[in-house]
Amino acid sequence: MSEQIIDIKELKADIVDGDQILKGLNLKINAGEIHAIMGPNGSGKSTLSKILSGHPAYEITDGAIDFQGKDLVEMEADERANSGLFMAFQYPLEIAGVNNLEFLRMAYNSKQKYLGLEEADPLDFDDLIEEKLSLLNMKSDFLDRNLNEGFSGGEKKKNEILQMLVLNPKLVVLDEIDSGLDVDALRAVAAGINAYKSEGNAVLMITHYQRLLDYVKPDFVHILSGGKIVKSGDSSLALEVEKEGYDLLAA
Amino acid sequence: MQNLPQTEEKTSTDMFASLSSQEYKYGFSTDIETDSFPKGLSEEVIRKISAIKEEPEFMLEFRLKSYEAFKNMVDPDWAKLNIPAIDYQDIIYYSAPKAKPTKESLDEVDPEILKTYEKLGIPIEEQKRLEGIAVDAIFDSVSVANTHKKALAEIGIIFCSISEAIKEHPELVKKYIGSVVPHTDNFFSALNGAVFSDGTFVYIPPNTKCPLELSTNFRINTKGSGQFERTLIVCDDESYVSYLEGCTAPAFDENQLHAAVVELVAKEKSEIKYSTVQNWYAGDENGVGGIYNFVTKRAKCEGRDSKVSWTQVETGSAITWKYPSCILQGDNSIGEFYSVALTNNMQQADTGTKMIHIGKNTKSTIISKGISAGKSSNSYRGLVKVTPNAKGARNYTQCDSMLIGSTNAANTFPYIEVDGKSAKVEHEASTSKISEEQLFYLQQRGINVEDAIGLIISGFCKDVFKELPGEFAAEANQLMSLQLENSVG
Amino acid sequence: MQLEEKKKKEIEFLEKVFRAGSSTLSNISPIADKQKKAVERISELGFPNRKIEDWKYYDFSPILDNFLSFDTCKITQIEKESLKDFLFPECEKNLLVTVNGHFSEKLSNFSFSKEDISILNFNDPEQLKSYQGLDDLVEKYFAEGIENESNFFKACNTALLSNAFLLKVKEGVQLKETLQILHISNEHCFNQTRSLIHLGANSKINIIVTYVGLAEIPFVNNAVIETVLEEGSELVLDKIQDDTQKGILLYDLKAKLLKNSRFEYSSLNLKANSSRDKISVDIDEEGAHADINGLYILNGERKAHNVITVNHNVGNSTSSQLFKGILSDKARAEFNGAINVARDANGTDAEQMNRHLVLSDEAHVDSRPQLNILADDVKCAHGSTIGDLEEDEIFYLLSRGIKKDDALAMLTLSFCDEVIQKVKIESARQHIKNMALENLDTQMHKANIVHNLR
Repeated sequence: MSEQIIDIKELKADIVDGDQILKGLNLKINAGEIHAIMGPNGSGKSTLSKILSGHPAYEITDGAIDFQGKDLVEMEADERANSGLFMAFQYPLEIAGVNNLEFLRMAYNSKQKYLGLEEADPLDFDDLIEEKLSLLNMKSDFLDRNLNEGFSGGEKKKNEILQMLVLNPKLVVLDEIDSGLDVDALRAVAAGINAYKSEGNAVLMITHYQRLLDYVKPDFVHILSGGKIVKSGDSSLALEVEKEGYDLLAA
Repeated sequence: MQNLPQTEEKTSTDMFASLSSQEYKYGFSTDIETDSFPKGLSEEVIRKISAIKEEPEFMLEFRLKSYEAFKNMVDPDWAKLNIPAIDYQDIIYYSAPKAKPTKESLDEVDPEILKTYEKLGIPIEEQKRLEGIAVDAIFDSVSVANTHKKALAEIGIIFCSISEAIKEHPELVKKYIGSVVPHTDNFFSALNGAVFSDGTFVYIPPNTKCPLELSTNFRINTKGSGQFERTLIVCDDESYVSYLEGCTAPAFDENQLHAAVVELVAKEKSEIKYSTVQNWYAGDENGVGGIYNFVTKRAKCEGRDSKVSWTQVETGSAITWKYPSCILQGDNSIGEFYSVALTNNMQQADTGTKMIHIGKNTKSTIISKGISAGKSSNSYRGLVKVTPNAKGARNYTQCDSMLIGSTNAANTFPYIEVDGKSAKVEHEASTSKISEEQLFYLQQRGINVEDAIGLIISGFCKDVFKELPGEFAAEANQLMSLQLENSVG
Repeated sequence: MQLEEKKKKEIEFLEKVFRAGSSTLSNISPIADKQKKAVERISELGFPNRKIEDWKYYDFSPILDNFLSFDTCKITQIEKESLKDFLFPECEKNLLVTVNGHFSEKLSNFSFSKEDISILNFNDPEQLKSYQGLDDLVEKYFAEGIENESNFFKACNTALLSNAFLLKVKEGVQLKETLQILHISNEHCFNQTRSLIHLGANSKINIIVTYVGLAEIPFVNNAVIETVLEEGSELVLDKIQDDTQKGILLYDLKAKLLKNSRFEYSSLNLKANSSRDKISVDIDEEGAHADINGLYILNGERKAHNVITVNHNVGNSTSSQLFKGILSDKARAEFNGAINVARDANGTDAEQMNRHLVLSDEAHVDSRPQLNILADDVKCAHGSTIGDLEEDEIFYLLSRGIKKDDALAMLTLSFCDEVIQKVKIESARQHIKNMALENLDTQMHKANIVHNLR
């Protein structure tokens, strides 16, 4: 049996001082698997990605998350990242004046340090990054710009995937990575995901539409509704959703 | 002359705060013997200062007329500062290390002083070996060491203490001192004119590009003393100089006054770049102690096509009152002001610039970044004035404020006065905060909160830091993180 | 000595205020109380000077040198016909007129239902006394904070007023018609005009206030407007200053915005020797929005001063300011605008923009945009530009075959248009455009441009 990446048990979570969003969610992901979570608006999809990555606006009230033998709930957001959990944001933030390349190197070295590995000097890092850029069909002047500042929607998403490739996580959570992308950008993003994917890691895609799944084929599809997974299946389930809509399935 | 009791050596490990605490890193005083005057200000004290320094008659006259002007002035009260009443009779106006200052060889400098500089992280011994920076060091009031002097003298550059310049080059000093900041200019500059004890003098002859970065480190050491240095830089036709100024002071629980005057004169087609990293002791978190930094800095772009660029990183001092300015007199002259001012705890800063456009086609750029944390107050105050003759004048101003926490204040007070249609003046200002979402995004990439804040702050200040010479930019970045630690919850 | 001379005139001015103040005391006690406090405040403040930041760029000599009469401010016979340039057809049925500070019933018209809006006259004590809730209204909102009033002239207005309008829109009433308040000056005097506008919860009204001079003699129109917007109410207030070339306008507007209310204000300064607008907006409850705009078109030696303060006393509120000025000849303009965000007023979003178009070498601009911020979760920005028309834009129009004069006029008018469009009444917008053209360089082909841009 392959290595277990994450095991989410009976997870309940609220917006801090607000409503309960997740109401007992169970999900287990093993290495080498691609999972897709689909669901209507307001089902708790985006909340799940924020909770997994440790966003301060949400709190876990019950349940457990085991991430590679560690209790994820107790970890700070940066510790989770350094342990190998990566989230691609639906709306990546712009940070003025922070150079994209410097930021990437800082993030990379944070992880190296955390793992007790040697930090990369700028020259080594340049080599590392050039390789990833060509994979995504991105120009290197991209790196001289400020972090996401003035990027188009497609460029921001590509930048998320570039960060993913550089940080080489164990588990990738893609939050609506396909929103706001044209076909070419979607292809480049999918190529990045497929290049990253290996027997040793796993992907969790969160999406509203079937579109992305044409390019990155999931092994498992789950339907999230009312804060719980209501149905699971293989990739054919996504096609069913496309045809029938969520209402029927959730019923 | 009377010797005051020595201040207690505080260089214990607990004083020398580690990077992980917020305490002032440079808060130690050095155990050296000093010659100090008794406290107080009078004509007699001024005559005495002048006599000790064996000054020519013109200098004494300048001091006395400055004192006359000072007596007829009152402290300025227009800045958004809460300045406790200062007793000007309770300040030591002259304090010098007792070991005879030497300017020829570092070997003769009191080893205790050298140790102090090592603690500051800018050891002269190191600096001496470093290519590219010549250092003058002002300890309390007197210049104690000056490296690279001979090498510079060979190409006609004068880089020495102002006391020395008064004796060795009286004609130059007489011509330019008070020519940019007249003795009647303001309360603090008049006080400085009366009692200034030392400072730096730089003269770059025509057609000379100064091959080294010139640098002065100012340090106030004696308890209860004021520091009144005076810097004069004259850059002759078609010449260039870059000058750096660093400032530190030990942590005493009483306030110390620093009232410096800096005058820059830029002749035809010359350029002066003046950078400051000011990290005077800021007082503790309750606002006890710290330096009152009341400084008058002004440049005259006298010749056509001349350029002066001020860059400042202000992180220290309990109170900062400072407006490095440019009088753009020569046609096509350029003035620039790049500033980062960071205030934390109970610090107060009222800083900015004045750009006075007089010559035709003069240009000015102002980039100001204010960061306020703790219970501090941070104000930008600036004047852009375009006089009727300044046809084709251009100004661009950008003032950004960042607030960290909700107990501080950020203010922007620009004054824009324009005559005539040919000028073009643009001013922009905004405020922002470090958002939780930004922090989370960086944290999700594995960067811890402290580093994430540092990253955002240095991004915010980038347009200013890039104007600083290499190693100073790194130092500035580090200072900022140090000052801000534990400020963001 | 010049200085002594000035001092003498200031003292004389103060004496006149005190003398006149004693004869204008209202016989309604809450009003009289405020007037007494105003007199106290005047003696505390003394005559203002340029050392006070708010008056830094103001020239007091026209006020002091003209030896204005304080007591000949009387109502004079005016035929409606002579006002036609200043009346807007949209407001024909709802018009309040004062002449030299006195209400003119003859010239006024009123067709709003008394159920919807009460309009009271301060010099009609019978009507005032019979109005329920007057004391409360006056105590709370008339000359609010007079004890600490910083504007000397507003204190004078309070002490000296003989008449003021009190407009009270009833709760929930949304008036479709626009009310015009027309203040006429035609005597050599220091006259006071004043309105207190109170909008009940969820009510709405559009008001256009015009200040008009009808004689080429010096006068000072010392105007005050106070307004209170209760929860959910909406006030659109346009102010047009159309005084004559020797007229001086001193104007003080104070608006108090309560929960979810909305205030849209536009100020158009078109004539007068000098105008000074002091505008203070207090956002006292969440959800409120203030939109403050201004345009001043100055030629000759005319001056305009705008001193604006927007106070975000609570968070989750928004404001925007847009002030534009065009200066030719030897005109002078001052813009002094502050955004103040109080401690913990998080969620404030405030912006301010000030633009000056300077068309001559001898014109002068002082601009002081200010931010005072005490809360961290806010969005505040201001901008200020001063300059001539863009060469590139002129060239673009020329290259499309447009004559230079037309190009200049077009660009200049388009500069104003952003503010003019904020005015709600069509005929008022037209009037403003005409005035703007009259003030602009005479070389411009007015007819052509007016035709094209109408």
